Amino acid sequence: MKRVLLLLSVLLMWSSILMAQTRQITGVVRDKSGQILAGAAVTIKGTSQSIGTNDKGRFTLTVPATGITVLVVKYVSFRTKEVTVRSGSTVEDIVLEEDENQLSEVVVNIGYGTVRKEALTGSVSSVGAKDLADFPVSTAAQALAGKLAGVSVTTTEGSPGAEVQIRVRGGSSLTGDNSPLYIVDGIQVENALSILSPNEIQSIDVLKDVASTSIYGSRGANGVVIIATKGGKSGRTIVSFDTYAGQRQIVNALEVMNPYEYVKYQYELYNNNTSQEVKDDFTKRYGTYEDIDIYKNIATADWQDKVFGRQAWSHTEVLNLSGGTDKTTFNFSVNNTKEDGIMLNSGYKRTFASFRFDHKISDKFRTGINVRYSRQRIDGVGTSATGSQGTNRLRNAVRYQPYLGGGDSGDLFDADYQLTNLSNPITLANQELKYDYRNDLISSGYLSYQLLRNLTLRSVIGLNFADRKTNAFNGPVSLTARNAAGLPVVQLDNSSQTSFLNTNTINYKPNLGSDHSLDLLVGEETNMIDIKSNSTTIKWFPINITAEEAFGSTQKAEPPTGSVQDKPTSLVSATRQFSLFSRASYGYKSKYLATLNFRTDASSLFAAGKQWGYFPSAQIAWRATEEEFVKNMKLAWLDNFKVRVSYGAAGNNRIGQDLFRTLFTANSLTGGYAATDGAISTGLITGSVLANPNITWETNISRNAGLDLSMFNNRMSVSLDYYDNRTKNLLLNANVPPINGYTTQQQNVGKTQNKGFEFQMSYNVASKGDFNYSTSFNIAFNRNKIVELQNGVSSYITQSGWVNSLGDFKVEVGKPVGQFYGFIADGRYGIDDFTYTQNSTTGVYTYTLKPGVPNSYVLLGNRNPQPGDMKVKKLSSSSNMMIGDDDKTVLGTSQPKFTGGFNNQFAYKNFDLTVFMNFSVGSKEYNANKIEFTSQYNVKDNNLLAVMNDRWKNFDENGVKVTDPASLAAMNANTTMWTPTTGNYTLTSYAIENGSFLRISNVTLGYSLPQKLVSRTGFISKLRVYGTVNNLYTITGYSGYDPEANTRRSNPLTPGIDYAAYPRSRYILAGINLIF
Amino acid sequence: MISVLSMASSCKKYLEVVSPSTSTPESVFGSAASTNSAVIGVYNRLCGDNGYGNRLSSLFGLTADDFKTSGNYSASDRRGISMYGASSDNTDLINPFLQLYSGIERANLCIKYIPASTVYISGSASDRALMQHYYGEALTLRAQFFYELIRNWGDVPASFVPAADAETLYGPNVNRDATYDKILADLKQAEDLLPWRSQITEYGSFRFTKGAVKALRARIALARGGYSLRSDSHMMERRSDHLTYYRMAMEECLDIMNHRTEHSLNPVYENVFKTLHGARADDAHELLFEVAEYGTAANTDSKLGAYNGIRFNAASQWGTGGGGINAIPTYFYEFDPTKDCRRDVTIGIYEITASSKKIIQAVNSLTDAKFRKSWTTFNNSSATQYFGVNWPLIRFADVLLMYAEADNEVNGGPSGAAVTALQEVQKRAYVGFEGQIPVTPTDKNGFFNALVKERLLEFGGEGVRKFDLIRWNLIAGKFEETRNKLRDFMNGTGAYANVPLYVYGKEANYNQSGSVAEVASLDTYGGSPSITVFSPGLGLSTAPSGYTVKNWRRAITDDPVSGAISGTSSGFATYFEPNKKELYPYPKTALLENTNMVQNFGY
Repeated sequence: MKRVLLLLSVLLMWSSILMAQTRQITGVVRDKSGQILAGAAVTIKGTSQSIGTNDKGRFTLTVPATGITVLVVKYVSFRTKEVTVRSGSTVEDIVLEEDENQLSEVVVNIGYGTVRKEALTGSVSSVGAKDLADFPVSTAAQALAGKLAGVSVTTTEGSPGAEVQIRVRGGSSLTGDNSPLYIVDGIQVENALSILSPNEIQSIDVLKDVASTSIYGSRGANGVVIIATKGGKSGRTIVSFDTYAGQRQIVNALEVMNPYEYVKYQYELYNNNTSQEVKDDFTKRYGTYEDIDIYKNIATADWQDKVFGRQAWSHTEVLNLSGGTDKTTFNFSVNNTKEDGIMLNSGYKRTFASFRFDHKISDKFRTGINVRYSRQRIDGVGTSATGSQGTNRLRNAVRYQPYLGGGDSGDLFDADYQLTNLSNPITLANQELKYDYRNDLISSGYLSYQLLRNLTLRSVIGLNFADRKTNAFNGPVSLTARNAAGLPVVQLDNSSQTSFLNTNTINYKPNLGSDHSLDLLVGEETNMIDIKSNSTTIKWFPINITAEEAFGSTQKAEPPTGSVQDKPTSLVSATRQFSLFSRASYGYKSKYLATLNFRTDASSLFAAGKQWGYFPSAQIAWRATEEEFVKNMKLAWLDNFKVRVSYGAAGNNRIGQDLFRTLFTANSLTGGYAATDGAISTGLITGSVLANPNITWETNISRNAGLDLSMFNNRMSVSLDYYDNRTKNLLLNANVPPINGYTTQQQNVGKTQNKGFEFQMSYNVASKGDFNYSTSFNIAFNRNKIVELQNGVSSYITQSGWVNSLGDFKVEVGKPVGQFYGFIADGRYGIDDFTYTQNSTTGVYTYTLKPGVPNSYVLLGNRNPQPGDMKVKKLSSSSNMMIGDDDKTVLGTSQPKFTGGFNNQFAYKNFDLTVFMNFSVGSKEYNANKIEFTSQYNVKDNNLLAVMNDRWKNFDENGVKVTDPASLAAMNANTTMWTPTTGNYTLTSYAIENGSFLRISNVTLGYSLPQKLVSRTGFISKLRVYGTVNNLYTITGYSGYDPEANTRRSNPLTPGIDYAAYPRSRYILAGINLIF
Repeated sequence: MISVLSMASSCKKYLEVVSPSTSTPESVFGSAASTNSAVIGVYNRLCGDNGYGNRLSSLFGLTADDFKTSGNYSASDRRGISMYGASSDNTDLINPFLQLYSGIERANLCIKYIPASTVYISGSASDRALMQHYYGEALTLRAQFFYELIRNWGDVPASFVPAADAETLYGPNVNRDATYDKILADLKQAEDLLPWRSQITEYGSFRFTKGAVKALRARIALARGGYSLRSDSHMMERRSDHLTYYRMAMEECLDIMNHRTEHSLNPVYENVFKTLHGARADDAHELLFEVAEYGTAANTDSKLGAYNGIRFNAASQWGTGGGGINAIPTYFYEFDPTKDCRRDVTIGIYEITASSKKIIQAVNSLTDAKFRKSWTTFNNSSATQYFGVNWPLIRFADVLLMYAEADNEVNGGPSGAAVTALQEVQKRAYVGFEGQIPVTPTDKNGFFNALVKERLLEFGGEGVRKFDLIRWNLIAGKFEETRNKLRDFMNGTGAYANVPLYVYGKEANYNQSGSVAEVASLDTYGGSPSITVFSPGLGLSTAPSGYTVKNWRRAITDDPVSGAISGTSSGFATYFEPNKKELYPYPKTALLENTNMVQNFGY
């Protein structure tokens, strides 16, 4: 170090001697159109002398009076230009050319700082404003799907405001939250992508390898998404207005039996081995069999269409103002969105305003603030619920009798719900109402002070407030009300979260000459989160009360004698975190690059002594194209060749508060006791999670190797990455033996592994004259594996819970998360599987299963199989032919073999066209809807999917039951499906479908009005009109609504189930971009 | 250096987050009031769906020769339990198992922290007294949870410290004798900590007082001294020192019997059960302890009267109720048909129809009648499942009969006091016919057999019988005997020679009178049931005009599937095997999570 300093001082002395004879040159930097470029960097080549252009694009530099002087001019997104100063010249006007590929000067956020892309040592996927601009979708998350290799973006359902799951390189945690950390303009924001709109985003950088994320230490284990919003630029104030509007419509429907088919099926249910009483019930409800043909002419009530069929209108307006001077820039944006969901009473409304202001107090002192206020409201209960089958709602729209009965509303059909377990889907949609309001204020400010030329202090303060209110009303038809004497129930939930973040960093970039570059960063961070929430459930409202009246006067609720209202509950929680971090980046001749990170975090979620976690990492990169021997090879096509290797650790502490100590909470339900007559005393209890004083950080160790290539004059760029992430000390909400009085304990046990390969490519295929075509493609392969589970357990069965007591997932060491577990379907029993005898008096045949044929007794609701019943394969070797748990096996997983996206952007003259597709191959989808909608279970008067028209027939055309083997065989020669099962729903391979798909997710055609025409208006500088189709078409073999549906998310171990998912819609819209 | 240290200490404070929503054990047990709340939290584990609100009360005590669960067999639900063919993944096993152990944990926390708290050691005299009560209650509750676990599963793992302090979370099976001895000692301590009922009237019979603890100790001592299925020998055995425990039971019972002002027999048998439904009519405090249930919620209330009890049609003025438990038809005929008032309190021979009237039911649909929707304040506009009905955990009649039994064993024959105790119970049952109670045998064996019969009649539907039969090692024999009786019943032979094939019922007013009068006023063709179910009648499957036919003997068949005797689907304890099925299988998840535990023999 000393030697370097010595060298530096010698150099400085030399330069001061040289400065003796000088001249001044001035100039203006412009772009091709003549627009001045303020803030361009002009450097004298070979020296550190540099200056930025002022707001008039002007610069002044002192250069040696004689000799050749070369100026290097740099400006973001323009090609760097070298200008040789003519001898004797004092004025040099410079014109920069825009760099379409923007590669050489792209700056990437790496956490508490940025780095030029070529100096990047980690694995980062980036998306710029250009890639997002054409996606008129309400949240940025939806625009990201398929754009980034190794970043999976899954919209779990089609409902407005549905959760978008984002996973970076698969999930590492088994039972915890696997979502990445979001940093917006330097501060942490939960679920940032759902509260930002695509058109205010400048860039999104996703740090994928742990060596990059480890600067964020805690919570970095699942990747970090760094979002920069658009700031203002000095110069003219730009006003832009964007608006679009369009309609959503359901894409496909589940085909169900028509009225005639439905009544025929009911006839079979009412007449197959039943008492006369039941048979008479059929006649009472549906008429005699002789008149059944009437149902051929009865109008079909398409409930799916009635509930989801509407053309849902939506519109968005965005107004943006930006501009500034060389000292102050600002950006102000107002965004308003209103969309209706395709389902009745569902919709989404959001308005937000954001303001960003940056100011230079002096050359050394900069400050800025960023304030965002968002107000959003999501209406609707959706179709899925976390509870079991009865609490989910899609079933009503599928299974309700397919014609109107009684009155026009159809309400008279099973008004008391007892027989069918179904509610009229329209009545239900009008009686289960939910309004979810959310207000967010996200604010941050920074101060940065350049203490020395190379030393910058920066301080960031972020303050976020999130208030959430959910009002839910459950009318008499709803399940909730049915459990409260059929009287309306209201649930009011409120929560408010305050988070405070303060980061202070010192950045030192010593000048070590042209061969060496060094960037040092040390910092400290404080993070405080406080949450207050309360919840009130009020039962027993008067039966006819409206939702508004109930919300407006909760005092109208009156418990019947002997019943008590639930107590309102409240909860206060808080977390605190303190961190120290540092980074050193070193480069030698831009050839050898190395970055070392070290972070240490202390979290209040762990006991004293276990609070600190240490997360080091190292990255090195080699840019072969900077080597002389490569340069000598004269590979004109190769612009950049970089190899990267990294190794690092990151942590995870996403667990609840106080899990390390035994604490008591008051509870009137699981702790209440009627110690006196007619009242419940509230007890103090410890809950269902056993305290664990030893819990500490989960650690994710990752290895990453990557290759970056730029070719053909930077027109093509390719990145390849291979990674191997291993997570140890998994923070697992582990099952503990129930003999301890608790079901789970937070433990650091088990290991998982995700390894994979990512490829991304972008290519500017043509940019000749009027025609421009660029394309990008990415693909990612991830393999997930459980390496170890708690306490030497090798596997266990877990329940997704869509139906009670169904162990349908297997968690197993050596296998990926989310293995579907069930029986292998084997069609149905045929006549040959039975021995039969004829009763000599009645002539009726009775069928007895042959020994040696597997017996599906349990699946059929504890009865012996008959011809036509569902059959499954026997897998166990035991001699007992009774099908049981031993005969279950793994039926596949929802983990795809590979996923990716393919984007094409065309421009011809004033037209532009974007076609974006994303795909997923090799996953399986668990179609639980299909199980429910093809089974009888124990209810009558439920409709089935039309596929069950192909079921085994036991009744002839005259409605007479046939038992004769020959006739039965003949009647069923052309049917393939089994008799709808009467047992509890069970998972068989029938419900496991190929979940692969190719989705044309966005097609946009735009036209920009010719500049000549526009400029004639005098105030418009750009006008573009466009039309877009989102979710245009999905090529898939999947038979349900959507192969990507994932509705049992509360347990991360049960992904990939389509149960009662809100159907996905196609969205056709048109819009205008207007810049004044 | 100093600044580093001060930063470290302020950092430590910064990282210490205390939520006002939670309390540390030190603060909970730092005051009598919050300690009381912690004890309330332990009581909570007695009630609700998975406690004595449904599973422990209405499923676990079945089947015996009194009642069984209605419906057809499935290994994975309540019918599997009742037919002694439950599979280890039966959800009705795991949830009560979890709840009982969670009760033990809650009690363990109290038992650890209460005696260590400053209030207990050096608080004011009144606070100290309160803390002693709470300590006694926690000890008693833990004993009850263990007793319930042991009688259903045998050598269950047992830890007497909070899980956070336990050496291992993977505890092995523990010999039940050791656990019994520990909880019997705990109960002894609890007796001394808790006063008699009259000195702590606010507890009523909803919280434990001295008398209840003593009664419980007597019951557990008899279990300890009785037979049970042993894990090592795979045989029903009892220990050679069993008389020690009979003596213990006898002493405890005697002490209660010597405090008649505290607890005594309720003169009206029916009122004991009416009291459970809300209208208190038990001034004698026969109910030593009731599991209190209330709140229309799955965790704190009971489904008594909703799941089980007399069947009420949903359209009746009382709304839906009952039907989950059926009487064994022959049980009806065990009672003296004219003198014993208990039969009509215990067995629901009728149901309430949509028009709010009563009508006799088929013999295989008789219900348990100690629980009745119409005794509650709930009606057809109430919530459908929870009616706030309490469970009678232990009552004074049991104290008398336990005394009589222990005395007979200890003395090799009944003492005069033992005979009096038995007769006291009988005399209440034979109200109006006190002089005609059965002759009391005076030899040891005869007296024992009289007690076996008497307990059948006295405690029907209270979840007592099955465990009595097990501790006497009579379960296999009584089951065989019951099947034989059922066969006689089906065939109309032996004691059932005059029982009809069919009875014919007509709706009659439901007067909500006393149980005996209510049954007497049923409209059956040919007179009141006291005649029509004891005489052959018409014997026709078609009813006389205005009447509906109800299968009586005809309802019982020996069909291999649907028969009531040994049918695979709805037989009497079809899957019972002696020396094997006296215990349940451990829930599958309990074993999956803990490889140190061993599944019970036979599963």
